[in-house]
Amino acid sequence: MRLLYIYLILIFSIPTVPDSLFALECVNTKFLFDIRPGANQPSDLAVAPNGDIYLVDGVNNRVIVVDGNGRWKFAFGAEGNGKGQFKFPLGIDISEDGKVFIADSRNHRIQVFDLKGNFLYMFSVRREPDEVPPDPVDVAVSGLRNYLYISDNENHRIKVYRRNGVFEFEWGNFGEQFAEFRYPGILALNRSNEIFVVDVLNTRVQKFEPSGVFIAAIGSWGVLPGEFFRPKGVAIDRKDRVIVSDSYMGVLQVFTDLGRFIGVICKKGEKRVFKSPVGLAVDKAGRLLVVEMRGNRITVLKFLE
Amino acid sequence: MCPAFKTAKYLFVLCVVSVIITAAVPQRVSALEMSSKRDCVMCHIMWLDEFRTDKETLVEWQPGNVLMKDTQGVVSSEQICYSCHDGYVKDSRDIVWKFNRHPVFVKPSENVTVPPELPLSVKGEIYCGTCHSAHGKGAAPHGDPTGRTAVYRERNVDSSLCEMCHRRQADYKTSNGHPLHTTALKLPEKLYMAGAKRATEKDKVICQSCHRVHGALGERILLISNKNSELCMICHVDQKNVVDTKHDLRITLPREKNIKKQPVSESGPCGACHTPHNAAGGKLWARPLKKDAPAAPQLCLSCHGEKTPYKIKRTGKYTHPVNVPPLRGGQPEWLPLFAEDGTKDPKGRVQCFTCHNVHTWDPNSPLNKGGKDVEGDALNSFLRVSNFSSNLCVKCHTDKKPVITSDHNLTVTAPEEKNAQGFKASVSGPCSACHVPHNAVEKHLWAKNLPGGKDFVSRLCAACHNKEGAAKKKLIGDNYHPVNVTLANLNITPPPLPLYDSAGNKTVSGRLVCLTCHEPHTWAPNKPVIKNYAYKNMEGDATNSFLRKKNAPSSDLCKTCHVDKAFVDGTDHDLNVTAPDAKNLLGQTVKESGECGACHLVHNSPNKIKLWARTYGEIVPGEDVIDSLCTSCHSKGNPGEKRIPLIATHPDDKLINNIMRSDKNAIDYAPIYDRKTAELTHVGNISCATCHNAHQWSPLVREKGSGGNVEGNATNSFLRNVSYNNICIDCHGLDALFRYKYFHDPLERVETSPPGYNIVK
Repeated sequence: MRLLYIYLILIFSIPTVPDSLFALECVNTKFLFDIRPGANQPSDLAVAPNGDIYLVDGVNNRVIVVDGNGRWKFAFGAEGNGKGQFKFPLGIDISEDGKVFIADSRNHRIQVFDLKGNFLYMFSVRREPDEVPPDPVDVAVSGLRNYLYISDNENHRIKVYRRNGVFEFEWGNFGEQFAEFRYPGILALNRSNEIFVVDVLNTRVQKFEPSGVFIAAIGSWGVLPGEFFRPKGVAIDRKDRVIVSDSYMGVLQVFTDLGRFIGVICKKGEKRVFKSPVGLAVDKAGRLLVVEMRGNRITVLKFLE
Repeated sequence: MCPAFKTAKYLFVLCVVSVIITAAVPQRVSALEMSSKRDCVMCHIMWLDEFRTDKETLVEWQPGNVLMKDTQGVVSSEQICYSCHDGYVKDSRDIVWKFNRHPVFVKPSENVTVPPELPLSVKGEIYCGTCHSAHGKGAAPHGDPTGRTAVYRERNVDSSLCEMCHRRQADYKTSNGHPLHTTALKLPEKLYMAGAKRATEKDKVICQSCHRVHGALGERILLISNKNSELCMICHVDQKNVVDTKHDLRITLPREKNIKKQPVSESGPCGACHTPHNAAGGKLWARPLKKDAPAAPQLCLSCHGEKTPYKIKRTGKYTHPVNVPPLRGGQPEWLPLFAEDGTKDPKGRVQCFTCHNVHTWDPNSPLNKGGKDVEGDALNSFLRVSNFSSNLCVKCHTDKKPVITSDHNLTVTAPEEKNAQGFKASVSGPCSACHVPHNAVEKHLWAKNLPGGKDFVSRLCAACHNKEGAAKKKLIGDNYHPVNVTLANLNITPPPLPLYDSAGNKTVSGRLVCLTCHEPHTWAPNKPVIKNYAYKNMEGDATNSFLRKKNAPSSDLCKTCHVDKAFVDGTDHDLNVTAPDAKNLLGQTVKESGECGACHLVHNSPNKIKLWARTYGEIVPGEDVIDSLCTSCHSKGNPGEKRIPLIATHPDDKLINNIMRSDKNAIDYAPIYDRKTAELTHVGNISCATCHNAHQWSPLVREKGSGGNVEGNATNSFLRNVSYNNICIDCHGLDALFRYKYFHDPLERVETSPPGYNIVK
């Protein structure tokens, strides 16, 4: 019986151990360089198969292309609702075959370009009778069944299309339960084509099977390590770690793909602070690319492991 | 293994497993919690309990009591706002963060009065929360007609929230600001496309008609850039024509600054002269104004006045009057009147911009901008309407309009004649051939160089009517009606025709000058508008010739002053009665010359005596020359040939003194004339005019004649006086009654007349 008491004391003491007794869990990184291509509040980026970086400069209604070292290459797009024109786009993804997919938010559509910025085709995001006008804020290209996952921010849904623009299915409603959303934002896919959705005002990242079945939720609301206040960006690295940006707290945090907190992106044990970090990407070289929306730049980091 | 050990081993394994499970499962899954507190903390981050533990947080705790006024907590920080409004909850990237917005984190300026309901930060600065609050009175769904939106702290009906602080701008009437809440001007759709907020009433001007609190493209949170007055010109379309004209100060005075110390490169072409708030005066005037003088004239004269440093297009000493009531007290046709502050007022006064539209160089072609160095003329020069053919002048000076159909329209009769400014009449127009509104050489806005001498008005006429002038064929000759004389001896009060002083001003005590009888703007007084006017040096007569009154067939103009001569009407001496076909020296019948003109020529008379219009009659040697006037008719072959006295002379060796009978107004007036000059004198001989007043049939009846050829007797017959009180009595006593009766009867005369003396054979 005495031993049982000891057991119970041990068990219940674990969660109550003050965190401050532990050092900040860090994932240390090294600053490589930053890219300042003259964007105004850039939101998201994607890395092309050739290593070029495509940055959504939505307020200027264009996409800026720089090479892997940050050197300017070109830009495409202009304000408008015609082909190849944008109205404040936010999200981007690039398929393995070199198609650039842009979430053209205020035009309520997805536009597709080749890597040179030539317009290929576009399709409107559908609107159900009970919905407000679609607000596609991100698009993710899946290798599975040519699926395109689109987060319809203001309708709190994930809508799935074929790459050719044919609607497949959708899931989600406004709410706080699993598979419900309050303003879904940036998307990311892992190697298994599982989809990660930043659920902004629910302060979490939800993980789904390709069919939309809920798998896990990552993070919770708060300001402690492992918690989110305004999660915005998500990326999966080569180790299937989930990296999440928080635009208000200005930090990036790393989780296992089941949501176990690993650490905060740090510099020599101190958290790195970014200026409204939003879109993230990990390139083939394993570099972490961070879009700083109010910093108007991309910061390129290297994991130190 | 003892049971205790087994139990301990079991517990240890259980403990380890528990620890592993505890570590593997995410520690906090509170995202699933439905919590009103969580929704509050969505913005009120500092309310999180985690800040009140000893755990290390990813952001620092910043205390700040948002429930207290005059504070700014993190909840109202820009970072909190942006964390949702970055496009991933609401998209305000362009509205709030791309373009210009209302200043925040600055202290309100002196021009702004922030009411207590709108809090400032602890530093006394404006912050997001000054206007916004999720819990304010203005919190309601977007598009709410009462002016509430999701996050206004106070309701914002027609920019009422703006006006809470910007009170001076709201009280535009006293602060000389752009009108608000007016619907006078139609607001174009283009304005709304540029981002203007629609008011509760169509075309109502509100702060947000021009300003956009967030997402403004222009400086001073204007909807669009206004550096070239683009915003002003969306509504004020007509004023857009000012661009690239001389009144676009970017061209003419690029270094000039307005009262806000803004150079024209900053203020734009409109802003050089107008400012929407806190202007110097009416018309949103943005240039200095003197407080002790009417504003309206200053608007123009602050640049074009004589005492300004600009020296550009000054108006000169003699310039058209401004700030004066319109002629005849009404609004001139097509032209606006203005109050003293420069605002349009149908009951106002004539101001510079009554004639000038300062925003359009060429009224007929707004695309014609003139240019910096282009000299204007009557067709442009920012005139409100083209002054071609003096069209603008005659809109007010309607009584001068007849000049256009007269020989005084120099564009027709002397198109090459230049005014003092060097403009040919064909360019300047009919009025400006003689008058210019600015920089005239003399009074009456006179536009021609004046000859010297004479009275002022005569000099005006003589500017053309001289031997070298444009009217050299219309001179008055050596013998003409006296000018520069008073009417005192005519004893007419008030004067029936205008008199002028030496400076050319009209005055009742003035002198008779050309303009007394002539109205140079109207060819024929009874026909101000002449159809089919020949337009070229028409020969006039007494019915026209720019006379103020028609002077034929009745000489009404002459008789206006020469009242005592007017009794000639209807008598035998009115040739309308007795000799309508007789012609004077100009070849005019009495219908053309008038009855006065039958005997007198006002201008160009070859005869000095009484400006006689006929060939002098014959007189016998020793007879007074004045009698030749009578014999010009009363002689054979002439109109008065039936009334030729057999004898008409008094013995010339009997000189007569009329000193007691020389009062012209007395009943016994008996003038004596110098024999040779016909001037009045007191000692001489009796002539016809001593006894006869050719202009009055009967001495006792001062009235017109009967209109028939009447046979006279001793009581009329144009006799000057009655027989019992005439000059004959002075020498002849009562004998004079007989002598008087038989003066023209050589047989009845007591003394035989010298043979051959004026006896018609």
